[in-house]
Amino acid sequence: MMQTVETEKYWNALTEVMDPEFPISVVDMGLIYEITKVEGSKLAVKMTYTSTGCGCMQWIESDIKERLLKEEDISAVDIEVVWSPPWTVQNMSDKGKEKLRTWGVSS
Amino acid sequence: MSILNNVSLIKLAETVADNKFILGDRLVEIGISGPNLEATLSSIALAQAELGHARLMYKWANELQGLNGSKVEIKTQTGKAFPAVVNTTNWVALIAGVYAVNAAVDLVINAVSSAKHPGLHTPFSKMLKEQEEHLLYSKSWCKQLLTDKGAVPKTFTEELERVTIEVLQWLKNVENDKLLISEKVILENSNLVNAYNETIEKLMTLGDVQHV
Repeated sequence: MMQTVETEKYWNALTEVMDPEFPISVVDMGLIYEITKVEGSKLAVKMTYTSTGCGCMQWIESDIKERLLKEEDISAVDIEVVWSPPWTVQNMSDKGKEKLRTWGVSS
Repeated sequence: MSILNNVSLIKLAETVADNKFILGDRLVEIGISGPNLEATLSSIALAQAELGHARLMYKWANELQGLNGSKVEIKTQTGKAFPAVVNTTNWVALIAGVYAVNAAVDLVINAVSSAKHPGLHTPFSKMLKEQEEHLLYSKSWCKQLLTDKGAVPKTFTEELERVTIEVLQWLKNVENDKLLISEKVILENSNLVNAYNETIEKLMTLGDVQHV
């Protein structure tokens, strides 16, 4: 995860975007790989999914865009989906893993 | 070094994509009435991932043509799926197809990745990990069908032969493709046909594989 002082608030904003299948944020799920500010008011988000067949891709991307566009200084968000490095449970934060355990899912 | 518009590579990508697209469809159509509940649930999960792989490969094929990969909308296959896969109508043929196709795709994609072409983006690591699970699951079913009673082992062997004939022809074309070799997308000594024959021979030699 590439987090800088400049992008910290956007990472924090994305902790409010939940995975539709579990009430765990996309950040704690480890889906977000990089957030970069480009062209002043535009953000470039590099992210992945837990599976290539994830049925919630458009839903999650839409939620991410919607949340980031609520930031006053952001007028555009570009999302790039990458598959390398592949997502594994190791991507999850400790908080995310703990939540999964609470829901009875081993991580 | 760009590798845009390499017709052989685009054809390779679309062949993989088409087969996975059709497998995804058949895993739902046939898998919904699988032999037991576990098989049906697994089949639907496999279908979702196969369709995900198809989407990834169509996107890659588009990028190789210099098109915007993220705008890909799939409605039909491009006509490169193996006829044996397209004509799958029962569980035995479905299992044979899932194993036979994925074993071949695994060899081809690994061959492309290991050639390490500097101008080629190969976003396959996640797909290969998921595909390993598909191979493990379908292999255990292959073993079960091969040791089943009555006409099942013979029927399975016939279905496997039907699909492997078409898969082997594809592998032969890929490993002898002058454009792929001259562009170093696939190394000259890829030995795809030999490796595939060994994989199928191992499968037919009954061993202990736990049903998953």
